[in-house]
Amino acid sequence: MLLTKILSQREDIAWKEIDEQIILMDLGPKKMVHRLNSVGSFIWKELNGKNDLAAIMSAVCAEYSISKELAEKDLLEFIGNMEKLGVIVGS
Amino acid sequence: MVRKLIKKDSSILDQTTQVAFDKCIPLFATIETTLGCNYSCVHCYNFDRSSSMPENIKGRPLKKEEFIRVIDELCDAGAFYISFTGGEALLYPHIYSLIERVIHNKSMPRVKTNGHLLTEEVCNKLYKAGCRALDISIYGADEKSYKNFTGMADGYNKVLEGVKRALSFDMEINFNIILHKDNCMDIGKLIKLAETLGVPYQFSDEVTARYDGTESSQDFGITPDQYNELLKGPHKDLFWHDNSEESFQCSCARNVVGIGLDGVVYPCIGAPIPSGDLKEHSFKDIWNDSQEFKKIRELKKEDFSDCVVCEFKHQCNRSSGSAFVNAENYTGCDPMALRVAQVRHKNKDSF
Ligand code: SF4
Ligand code: SF4
Repeated sequence: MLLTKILSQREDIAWKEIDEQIILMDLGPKKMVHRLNSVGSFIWKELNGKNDLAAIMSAVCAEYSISKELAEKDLLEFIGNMEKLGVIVGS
Repeated sequence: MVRKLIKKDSSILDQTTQVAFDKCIPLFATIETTLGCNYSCVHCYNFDRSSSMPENIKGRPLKKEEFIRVIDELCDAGAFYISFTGGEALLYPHIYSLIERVIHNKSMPRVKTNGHLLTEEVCNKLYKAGCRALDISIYGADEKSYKNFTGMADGYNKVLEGVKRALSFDMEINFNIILHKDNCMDIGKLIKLAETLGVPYQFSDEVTARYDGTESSQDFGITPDQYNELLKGPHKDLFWHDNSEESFQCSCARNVVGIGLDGVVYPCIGAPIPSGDLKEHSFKDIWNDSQEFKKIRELKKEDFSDCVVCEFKHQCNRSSGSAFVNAENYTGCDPMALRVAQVRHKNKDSF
């Protein structure tokens, strides 16, 4: 996956941050609910259709004081999961 | 450290609800949009619909822009489920703008409706605005019981048509089946109706006094003899309640909040204790500083002094809101809950 990708949250996903964790509700036909932990929640908020993945990775490194390699691995794993769930769009 | 960024399990909502309860986050908000209704249900808690709307309950309704501000403030405070109620919420002309505003805030709108007005045009507008969930009140299993209860001649068929139409729009529908003395023995038919349509359902057998102070609504509640029969019938488990953990308080002012048509804030839309006025204060200030909310949040088990020593407490599903409406005592005994708990107590060996 290229770090130049710019992704955004799907329009019809309801979400709310509660006690540092985000709850996602897919209002599409699947009507699924998911919960992100605090790091996933941080990334989710960055998926605004403006930041590319490289910028988000740098933000994760800075926020959690972790290496670039670890941040990239975890970011890509998270994005892969989000894509599988169909809750993000973009290219 | 960034492992398991996403968790998915069926208890997510339960756990979130509990967190919101513990941390006093108003996850579930209900907004009253109108007191007008196309039905005149005999049990309606708003006011006695056999007469015109009393002046004292009208107040000055919030304007559309004020409702929009309130929605923004509720969402900022953590409201995720925002339910619009009435009266008949679909009669409120700006309901679609309010739904859009909830979606704009990334929260989940729901509309509580009697279902009669779910025409193709209304379903289309609801869908376009972003509404994907309806809570539909069901009053009977045939035209006759609908007419007797709601005063509307073709209610049953219209509601059924509306439900089917909304389902075709991919709306999630939940039936709130209102049980009263004239339809409770049709319970089998009511369940079949929901199951045939593939709609999840819950029952409500609570008939409270009205907010205008009249009490004749309670004449329509299930009688103790009927309750006794239901507790022996094929659907008896639906009427049983086990409160051996002795919980007497509900979610009022913790993860639940109600907003009246005139901007008055309540601990729950079913507990009409005025706790602040959104025309004068922000939601955040009311939620954090209301003396009424503080008192409710500080309640301890022993404050429910009637309940703690009550012989029927393990079979009682009291709601503090109903106790307040029926007996003007939020922490006291609700006479309607007592009647039901006594019958359950008598039948306890069958459960
Ligand atoms: S449909 Fe609801 S608001 Fe309308 S009269 Fe019946 S109970 Fe009251
Ligand atoms: S019957 Fe009355 S006193 Fe007893 S637990 Fe229920 S509400 Fe409380």
